[in-house]
Order: sequence, then structure tokens, then C-alpha cells
Amino acid sequence: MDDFDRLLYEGAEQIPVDAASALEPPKPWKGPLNRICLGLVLITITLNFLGLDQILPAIGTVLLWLGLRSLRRENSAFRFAYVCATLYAVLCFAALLAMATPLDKWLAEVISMEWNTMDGTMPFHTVVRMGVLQTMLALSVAGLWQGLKEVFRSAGQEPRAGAAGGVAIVEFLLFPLACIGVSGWLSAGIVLIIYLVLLWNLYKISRSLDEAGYALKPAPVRISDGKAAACWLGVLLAGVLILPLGFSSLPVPAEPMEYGDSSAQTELQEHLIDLGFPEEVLQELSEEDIARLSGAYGVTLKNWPPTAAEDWDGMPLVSLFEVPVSDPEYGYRMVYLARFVWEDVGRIPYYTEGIAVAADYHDTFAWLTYMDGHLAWTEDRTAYTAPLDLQVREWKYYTADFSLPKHPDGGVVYGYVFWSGVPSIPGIPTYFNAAVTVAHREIPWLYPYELPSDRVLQYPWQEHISHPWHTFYHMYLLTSAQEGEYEQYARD
Amino acid sequence: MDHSELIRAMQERRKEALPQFQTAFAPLVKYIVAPILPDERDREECLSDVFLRAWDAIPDYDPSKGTITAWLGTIARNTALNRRRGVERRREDGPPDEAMPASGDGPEEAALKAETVRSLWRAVYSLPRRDRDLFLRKYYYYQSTAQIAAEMGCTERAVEGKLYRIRKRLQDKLGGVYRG
Repeated sequence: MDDFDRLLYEGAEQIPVDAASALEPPKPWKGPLNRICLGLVLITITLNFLGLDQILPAIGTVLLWLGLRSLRRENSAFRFAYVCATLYAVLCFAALLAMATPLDKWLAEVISMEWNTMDGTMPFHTVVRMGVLQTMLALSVAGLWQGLKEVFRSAGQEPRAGAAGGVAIVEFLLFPLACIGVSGWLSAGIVLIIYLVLLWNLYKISRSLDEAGYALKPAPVRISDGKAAACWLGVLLAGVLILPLGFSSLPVPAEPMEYGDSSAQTELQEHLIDLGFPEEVLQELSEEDIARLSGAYGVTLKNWPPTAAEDWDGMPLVSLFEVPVSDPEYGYRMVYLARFVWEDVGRIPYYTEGIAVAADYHDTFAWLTYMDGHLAWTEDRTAYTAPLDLQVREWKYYTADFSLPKHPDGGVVYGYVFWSGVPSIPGIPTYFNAAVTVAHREIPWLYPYELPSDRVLQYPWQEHISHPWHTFYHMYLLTSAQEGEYEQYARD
Repeated sequence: MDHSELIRAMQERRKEALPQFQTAFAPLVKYIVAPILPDERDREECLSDVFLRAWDAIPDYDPSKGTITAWLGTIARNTALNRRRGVERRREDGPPDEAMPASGDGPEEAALKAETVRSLWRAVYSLPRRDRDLFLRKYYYYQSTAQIAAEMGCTERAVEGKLYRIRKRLQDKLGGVYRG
């Protein structure tokens, strides 16, 4: 100790009287408790705009963990709460990191079960994740409640930690409420009441410690709160930036393509060419695909865009082939082929593509087949094909999400989607609409991760370029007519 | 009984209020006394002294001038410091505690020191809130670096660094012979 230190001690001794009477003693519980309470508020009450529904819970999770870290050595209940908060933070951050990848899509493929709520359905894996996280959070608050009671007892006072118990009960209740999915005014009312109760209880927790809180002894730390928070949030930020580089694309399972060459096929091909089917497109199709067009009595081709547009970079050219075919059972049926051509693949970094096809907007058909389709390309002079995983979404749409192969020969990849249907009123020519929407994303970073099909279905009627998405939509006017009448009614 | 009722009961000299007052504020008094008096027995005796002094002084307590915790905190700190001085005086052969203020200055020296103290407090109150709190913990409440670090959620090294910077700022503000 030097002279100046001695002066500081002496000076502090002779504090002016008015200053001394207003001097509030330090409150050792205030820092940890404030962090815990603010953390719980940020975790539980989320704001769904500007990404705050991810940012605020992440910050809240770190604050809760920091608060309980300071109290962990005080008693066994606080230790339990700290362990639960650590598990919660790890799981919560893992969930936030997973949101930077298409993990939800993969999990939905593995676990196809869904949970029914009053609001709609939820993937079962989402319910499990939510349940584990909410239970961990509620357990850590329950630990906090018991820990506070112990603090009061050790101070020789009657426990007054009921507010923390109230918060624990609220946190336990939130999960079953989310599972039930109560909607409308009832939901808003219940949630509002719960939040108000929660806030009031959190305020009371801090107040209740005004006397017994001095018995708390925060534990020493090796890493300061600021650095620990920076570590948690830094890992999250780094993960959100790095994970999409490896996991944001949706590779398709490529298989070498086999071509057949039978004489019957050649006959059918010649017939189709006579009807106006482009020869070069027929050459791209497999034997099985061409066989779908057997019995054709007309061909109509619709291209979109009619000519390449300036802002079409990265988007496929879409052609729709309408082929009416004779059917021994129903008289005739309509076969459709949507053909997609991606050019310059490899020059432009392609990350994810999405297509959505609505075959029949106005329920013109008695029945429609399931859509099926595939991608085709050549690489090192070997032809490859990969099936498209077409899913029925929102009744009318078939959607597929995928990433294009990285190095196709000539930079060209083709996509084909087939479907057919029988009209509800056979024999009467009918016009109807079908829609094709395509979406394209060129950068890997998008948080939270969004499937192209989700994007398309969110804005099915819009054509726009909204970074990082390019989305284009086209409605086709199609015709259904029997042989002899089709040529008269069909429109290009 | 809430704080205001308890204080009123104490001011009205109702003896049944004293045990309740002690139960409510013992953690606060122990918290303030502990860093000043390392010996457990001294602390226990000091605790009784503090509540005795509080009982005597509480009729003069004016809630408009400060909270009960600030008032009681000041009594606890002063009582603990007096006890520590007494312990030091009794320890005839022991080395003097460097943290304890020296006493026995002449009138001229005392006047000079009083002026320095006034300058010091002006400088302390010009510090940012967090720095001022840190200064008070260290030099007013005699808290150890370890205790400050744990309560502020940082490492001892970080606290030492902050205290070093605070000392530098105070030295600069005080100027003259105190500038390092």
C-alpha cells in the first residue's frame, strides 16, 4: 500500500455526512437476480419481427445462465438450477444453430408424425424439442425458487420466494398451452394474463430479497460475465455464418441414366414429332417417360418466359407440354409435362431451387395422378438422373426443393415433372388453369433457413426479386378436349 | 410487519420490535461488517453493538434523508471500524494495519488533510457510476478484490485493472503531489 492508497482509505473514512446518509450499501444479489429476471423476460416474451424472436431469447438464455452461474455455490438447489440452465443454453443454442440449416426438413423426412393442435398441425420433432427446452427452463426456475427459499432460511427468515414458484408454474404451463394451440381471443387473453403474472412475479422476486439477499455470496468466476456472454453469442454467430456453407444445399441422389431404343418407341417418337412435339426434347426423355405419351392425338407447347428476360439470371426456362391421349377406360385423358432448363449452372453459384406446380386451380378434373419428376444432366459425358421429391402441399400444390449438381457439362440441367388427369365432364371441351412457380437462391446464408417451397407457398401469386430470393410465377391456360375437337380448342 | 411499521415501532421504543428488526437486518449488518473484521468473534460482538447503537439512534432517524439500509449500513461500518481500531490498539506488538487511517495529526496538517479529503470526494463523485461503486466497495466498505470480483461477475484481475485505472484518474484529478 502506498501513500495514495492510504489517502484513499483515510478520505473514504471522512465521507461528508449528507453523502454517507444517502450511501446505499452494495446489493450482492442484485446483479445475478437482475440477469435472471431479464433473461426470463427475454426468453418468454418474444417479439416476432426483425429477427428479435431469435436474438432476444439467445441473449435471455445467456443472461439466465450468467445469473445462475453466480449463485451456483450458494446451495444445492441453485446448483441444480445452474445445471438445468446450462443444459437449456446448450440445447437452445443448438436449436438456434440448427435453424441455419435444413435440419427440420431432414427430421420431418425421418419422423413423419405430426401433432394436432387447435391451430393446425406441428411436426412431432418440433413438439419434442419444444417440450425438452421448456422443461429444462421450468426446472431451472424451479431450482431458483428452492434456492431462494434456502437463502431465506439461512438468513433466519421466513421464505418469501413464492413469486419464483409462480414463474416456475407459468413456465411449466407454457408447453401444454403450446401443444393445445388455443387460438383467437381465448389464446391472446390467456397468454396476456400469463405474461402479466410472470412480469409481476419477476418484479417481486427482486424485491423479496431486500433483506435476506445480503446472505447470498456470489461464486467467483474464471471468465468475466462480459467475456462469457461474448463467447456464447460469438459461437452462435460463427455457427450461423459457417454452418450454411456446408449444410444449406439440398443435394439430389444422382444415378447414371439408362436409355432404351426399341422400334415401338421410334414409332411413337415419330408420331409425336408429327404432332409437333420438339424432337430435341424427345431425345432428352427416357423410354419410360415417352411411353406416358402413347395414344397422343395432339401437342400444345407453352414456353415461359417466351424470350429470356434480363433479370432471369439463375432462373430456369419453363415449358409446359399438353398432350391429350386416348384412354381405353375413360375415352381420353390429358398428360402434362413441365420442363425446366437451368442454364449457366456452375457460373452462377446455385444453392437451392424450388418448384411448385398447381395442376388444377379450378377442380376441373375428376382425378389427377400424383406428380412425379426428375432432374437430368450430363457430367463428364455420363448422363445422370435424380428423382424429384415432390410433396403435396396445401391441397393444390406439388413442391420440390433441391440443389442443382455443381459441374454439369455445358452448365445445363433439365427438370421434368409429369402428371395426367381425366376431366370431370368428358366430351365437353374445357379450359382451366395450372400454375408453375419457381424460386431460386444464390447465397447460402439465410436465417432462419427457409425452404424454397415454403417461400413460394408464402407468396404464391408474386413475381419478385427479394434478396436472397428470385421468385417467378406463371399461370397457364390449358384445354381438355376429346380427339377431333382438341385442335379446335387448344391454345398456344 | 413491513419496514416502515418496523421503524415506527422501534422509534416508539416498542421492545418487541427489536428482535424482528435484528432478524430483518442481520444479513445486511453481517455483510458490511465481515470484510472489516476478519475474526468471527469480533463480528458477533460487533453485530450486537450495531443493533444496540441502532436502538439508541433510531429516534433521530429521518427517512427523508436516506433509506434505512443506508442509515444502518453507515452505523454498521463505523462500529466495525471502531472495533477494528480497538483491536489494533490492543495488539501492542503487532504491526499497524496499513489500511487503517492514521490518527494524531497536528491542527495545520489536519486542515490540509480536510481540504484534500473534500477534493477527493469531489473527484470520486465525478467518476462514472460503476467506477464510483467500485471505489466505495474497495475503500469505504473494505471489500476484498475477490469479493468485489465475485459480486460484479468478473475476474480479480479485471477488478485490479479497473481499480488501477480509477486510482490513476483520481490522482490526475487531485493533481499536485498525488499525480503519479
